[in-house]
Amino acid sequence: MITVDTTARKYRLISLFIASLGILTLLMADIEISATDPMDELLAILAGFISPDLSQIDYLAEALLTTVSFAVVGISIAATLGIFLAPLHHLPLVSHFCAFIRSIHELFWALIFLQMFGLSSITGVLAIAIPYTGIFARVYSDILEQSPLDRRHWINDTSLSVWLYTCIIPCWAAIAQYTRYRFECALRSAAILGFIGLPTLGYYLETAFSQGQYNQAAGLLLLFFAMIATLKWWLNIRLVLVYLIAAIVYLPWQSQLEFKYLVRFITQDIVPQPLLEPTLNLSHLSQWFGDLVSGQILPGMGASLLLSVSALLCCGVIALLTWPLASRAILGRGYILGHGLLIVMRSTPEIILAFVIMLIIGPSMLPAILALALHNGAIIGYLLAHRADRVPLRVDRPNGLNLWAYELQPQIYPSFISLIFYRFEVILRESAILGMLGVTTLGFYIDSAFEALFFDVALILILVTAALNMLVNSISLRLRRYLALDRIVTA
Amino acid sequence: MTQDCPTVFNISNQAIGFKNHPIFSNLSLTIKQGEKVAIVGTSGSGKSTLLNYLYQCRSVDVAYCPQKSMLVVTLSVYHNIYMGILNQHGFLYNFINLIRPFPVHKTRVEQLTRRLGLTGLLFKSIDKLSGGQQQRCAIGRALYQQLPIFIGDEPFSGLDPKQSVELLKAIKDQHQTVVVALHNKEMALNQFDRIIGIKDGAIAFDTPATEVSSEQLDLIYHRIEHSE
Repeated sequence: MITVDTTARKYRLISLFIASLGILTLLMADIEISATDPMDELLAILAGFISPDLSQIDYLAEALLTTVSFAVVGISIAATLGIFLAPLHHLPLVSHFCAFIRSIHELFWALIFLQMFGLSSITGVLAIAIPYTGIFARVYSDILEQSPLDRRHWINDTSLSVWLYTCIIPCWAAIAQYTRYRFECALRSAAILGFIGLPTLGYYLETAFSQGQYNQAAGLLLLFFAMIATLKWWLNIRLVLVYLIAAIVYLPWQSQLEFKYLVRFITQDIVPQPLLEPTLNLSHLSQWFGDLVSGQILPGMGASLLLSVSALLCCGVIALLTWPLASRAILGRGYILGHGLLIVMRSTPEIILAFVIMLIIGPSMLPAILALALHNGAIIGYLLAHRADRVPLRVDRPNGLNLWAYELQPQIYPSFISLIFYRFEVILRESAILGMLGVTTLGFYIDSAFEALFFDVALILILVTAALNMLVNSISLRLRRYLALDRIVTA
Repeated sequence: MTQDCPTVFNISNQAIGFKNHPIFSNLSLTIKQGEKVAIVGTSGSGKSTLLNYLYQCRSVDVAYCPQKSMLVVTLSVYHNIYMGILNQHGFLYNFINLIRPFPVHKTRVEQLTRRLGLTGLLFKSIDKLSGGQQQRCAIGRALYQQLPIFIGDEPFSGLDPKQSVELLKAIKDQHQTVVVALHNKEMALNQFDRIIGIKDGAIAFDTPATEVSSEQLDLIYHRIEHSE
């Protein structure tokens, strides 16, 4: 009897596990198409893209400048704090703090600051700066760790110049490249802050879409793509300081902040109501909390996980189907088309994608699943194509589909599984905010609590969301280590 | 004996290599059917470029074994050997075989692995094998193609001399014409009937193995001992 002992088999088992879980959740999820004539709506939107129109929108330049300014100021603050936190990231307190602040989505941070500072620039900038600080601290610390120089040099000698010369300068290229990538993400974040009313592109995009002004919506979306596509020409690292000063000067900083409201928000609004009663009533408190757990926390968590796992399966399928379209090794010059398709798919923020799909097929969990799957599937597909084109090939290699099936797909599969695990964390984080579109994930309950001015409930739900994200991240990290995924990817 | 046989490779005054940077500026070489040719030369002298060129000349009937086995490490020995004959079947057939190996190929590849000293490793993936085992699998991939010509670029590096001779015998049994780049001096002298020495982008000598002078070999092998 010949025993099968291949690495491919291990990956097959992991894939089967993810697939069965995904199919199970898809069966449980509400994925019906409720719109009566989705084709009509789709055609209307496509017609909008054929004749995009920006002439009818007032304040277009302002929206564009505000979007860029939020991203510039937010990223500048986050990168500066991140670079100082990075050397301390090995301390558990710092790393947990950073994990916590990045596990709360920009939109939720914005909802919190909205109560304190109103629709002010401070709200927009902080909503980006805070979670990105947590992201930068972790990634910069990873980059510094891979620095060729010995860590001990700067752990014992804490002078700033030693740190600058031994750590920052050798890693500068990697740090700059990552910060540039995150700036692109921050532009997306700044744009979608418009969904809660800040005057960025997303605000006008949402308005145009909900009013059925698809020509305008298409114009705005194309403008947004153009902004991201031309990034490499206008984002010059030497001009960062100029941009920063211009952004600070441009943004209006006055807010309706009144100190007594701020104090009230912190000391009363966000404190669980039963705790504010004159006499502490434990049974009342436990009942209040019990209702919250059974009525919102558990169903919200369930829906978030259901949505994320379903989306993960679809995302994996999309990535596997699309990467060959963007691979030069398989398609030759034709790869450029697939490449373009994937860039457009990954540049569209999930919430906008979900919003558009919802307009077409009606409200259910399906738009959210598709949006998460398309956006993240495109990102993975893009990375896989990039990796596949770097696989060294023999002179006597097979061609076309044989090349795909026997050489490239098996060689990049470890990267695929590793990316899928990593993307699950991202999907879960994003799944929460899709609740703002009506899918009953945790974000739905958070949004409703803010609307009803139950800030205490909103805060608890945000903390639960953060805890869930952190828990899944640590499970995913352990699982990746246990399966030795990262090791095989580099082998 | 090979005098009257048809020619398999006939290169005359050819520039080989990169377009603006030919490694061989003016190469002429004829190899006849049935010849067993060893190509010797220092690393970087252009052996791989020459073998690569020979492969491109008649890719249809050459079984090629590149330097560094370059196998798909997550797949089994079986699939890596089967990959030799992907071009002989339609995609669907190959795809089914990827998921569920056909018994007919399983039997044949299993017999081959026994000859290669890979018994019992048929369904082990390449990343779980030793360097020598991987090398033998790469040779297996070439053997399974059952083509008339074998071209190997240092196919025995990492194998001990006894194994190398056994494998070379298997290669010679199955292919009419064999062209192999080698580092091993003994093997070149004892196992081949023609030796071509390459130095600085040109053929330094091209003689029957029995007539190679020690000066000729020193020209090449002195440099090898220094460079390694």
